[in-house]
Amino acid sequence: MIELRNVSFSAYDEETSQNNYILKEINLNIYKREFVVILGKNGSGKSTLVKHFNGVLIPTSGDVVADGINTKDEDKFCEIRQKIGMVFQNPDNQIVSSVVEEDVAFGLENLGIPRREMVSLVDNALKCVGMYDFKKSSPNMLSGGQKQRIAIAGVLAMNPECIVFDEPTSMLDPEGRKEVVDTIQNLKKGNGTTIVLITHNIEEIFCADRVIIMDSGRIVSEVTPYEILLDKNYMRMLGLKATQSIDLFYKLAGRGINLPFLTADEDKCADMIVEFLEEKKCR
Amino acid sequence: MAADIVLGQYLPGDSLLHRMDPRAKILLSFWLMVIVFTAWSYISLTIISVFTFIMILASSIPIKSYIRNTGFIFAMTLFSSFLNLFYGVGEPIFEWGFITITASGIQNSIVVAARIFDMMMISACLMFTTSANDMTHGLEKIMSPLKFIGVDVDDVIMMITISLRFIPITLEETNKIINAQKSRGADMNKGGPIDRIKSFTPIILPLFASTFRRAYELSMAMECRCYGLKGSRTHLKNFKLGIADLFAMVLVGLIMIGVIFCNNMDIAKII
Repeated sequence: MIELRNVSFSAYDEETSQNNYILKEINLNIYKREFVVILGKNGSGKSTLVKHFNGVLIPTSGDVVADGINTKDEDKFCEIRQKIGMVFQNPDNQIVSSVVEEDVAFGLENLGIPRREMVSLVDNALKCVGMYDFKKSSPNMLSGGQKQRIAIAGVLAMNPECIVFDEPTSMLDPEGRKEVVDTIQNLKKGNGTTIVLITHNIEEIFCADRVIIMDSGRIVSEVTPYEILLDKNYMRMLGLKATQSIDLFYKLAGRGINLPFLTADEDKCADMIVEFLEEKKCR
Repeated sequence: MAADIVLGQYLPGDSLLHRMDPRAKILLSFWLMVIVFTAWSYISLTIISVFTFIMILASSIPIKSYIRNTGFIFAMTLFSSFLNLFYGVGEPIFEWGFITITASGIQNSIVVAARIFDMMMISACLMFTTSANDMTHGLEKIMSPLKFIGVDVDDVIMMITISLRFIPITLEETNKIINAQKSRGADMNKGGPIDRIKSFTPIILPLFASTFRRAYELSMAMECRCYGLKGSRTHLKNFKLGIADLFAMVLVGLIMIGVIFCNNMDIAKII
């Protein structure tokens, strides 16, 4: 789906009058229907990396090929950006119109989709993120999580094959975070959309197929979510904080009680423990 | 909270005027104002004033809000029409010292007062019954012929739309910055006027910085959604002229004919 070959990106630093490398020789493939999480400290180049995916940034050297189109091809910007949507951190700074449905239609208007098709596309996108009832409201009246879901609907309406989320939950309260994470997971399950997610939150990496760890402009390693959880060094390096359920998992494992799988969801964890105890009683 | 701020003077409702097509509303209001300015005789002014009053009733917005929102201009109108009283030409009706009042002076002052009053009411009626969004979309459709002389209407309208969206957000941010500076010991209400203006610098500067950051992020998000990449945009919002709009057009047309016809009829001559 997206292929990065030897991608480097540099910005000119006026103070030191040197080219400052933000990305260094990155090779990466993102496959169709995959859920990839990118982890890394602040300033490790995560956001810069994903901005290369749809041609917002053009690599200084190397090539980015998205669905067969090189992002250096300026004539095809529109096509690339329709195929690869992007959702950013601050929901307020991505919503254009003061009516929800008009904002969702913004991308479609830009693509020149006829009005008749637009109406149903907008309605479907809003239903998909569970915001259909707020169609006519003003985004100012909505909560952060709801606004972020509107932003997702705006991207979704354009029928992208891949959606890139750049820390979509970092400005939200726990409730809004849950809403957005659920929405992202539904996208993966329901629409089969390829998803790239940048996050700092450990709970969000569980549903990933693959985790890419970045540090100072390089890809350090590619692992599965469980490998990160099993290795405390990763957690320390990334500054991730284990949730209660993960701590509990380790403590139980230390006593020889192995739960079937790791989860960040406390409710699921409780269910598993109950199941385990019941099984034990039966025996 | 940003949610509390309602832009413009829009008062939500479901009256005949609220349901009218904004394009028709804007054009007809404009046209009515032109008619108001051509009206000169008492009879034609009466026709327009009666029509304006009917409009106010049809908007089903309490007359109280009209008076409250136009009070100041109304006082100004009375003052200017009072001055007009003394600038008539012809036979004086009343003379006292340097003050002379003539028939044409009286007519002048009444005509001026009635004209401004009617215009105020017509524009208030438009503002009260049309939301900022409808207004923008209406203007967009009305201005679209300007494309042919090279004005980029789409961009202008996009600018208005974005400003409408970000005014409440910026206001909220201003309040946050004021509170942040106050909590650091800034005193906004001390000293003379110059000191007070100076004390706003620590508010304006961070506000500018954050607004530019917002603008940058927003433009990137817009680019990601293909803004400006394809030649012509389509629009979700579509307006249809209804029976109410046709009816209003016919009415305004009749008013125009009536005004032009009655302009030459002087009530004094009839009596």
